[in-house]
Amino acid sequence: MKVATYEGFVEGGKVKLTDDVHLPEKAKVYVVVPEVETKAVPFLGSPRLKHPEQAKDFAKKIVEE
Amino acid sequence: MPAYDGGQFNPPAPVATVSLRDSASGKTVTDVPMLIDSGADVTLLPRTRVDELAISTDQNHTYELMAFDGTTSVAKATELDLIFQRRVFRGRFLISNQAVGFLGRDVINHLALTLDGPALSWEENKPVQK
Repeated sequence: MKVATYEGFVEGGKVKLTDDVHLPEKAKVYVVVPEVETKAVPFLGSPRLKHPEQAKDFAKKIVEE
Repeated sequence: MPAYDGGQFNPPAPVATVSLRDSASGKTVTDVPMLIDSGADVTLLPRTRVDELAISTDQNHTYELMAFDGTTSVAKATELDLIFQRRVFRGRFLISNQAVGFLGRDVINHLALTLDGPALSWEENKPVQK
């Protein structure tokens, strides 16, 4: 398997390559992340607001469609 | 009557599908899976689906959440329309990194829902027309 390495960066949760790199659409890529610790996403069921008084921020306007 | 989801949850759990809409542009994403979670103070939306709308999050305001074991995490919020059971719930929603969102009491307290565990299905109770 031929392998080419390009440098990119993560922005808004998406990997972006530098402007001078053009890969064919649907090209399969592998991502190697140097010196970054990734955390597994824990399952957070039934989340509570730590500050219950903030619940008022989430009042909804309800419209029938 | 929508069936419980036994694929992602064991035991099976009541999961609804909702649509999310950017109220400014009208752009909509559909079939967003949401666990009906009466233990959740507020609704959390899956980040990957919110990202499809390309709407901004409130960068200046975060909310601290507490799990059942006391661990805390921080979530950002966004403003959009959540469409569920032919109603539009317009307002502020938190964003989660999980693939399935949570329909919390800020939404489900506006509805009369029946969870039929033995039948593994749920439905909304409609008011009787007189």
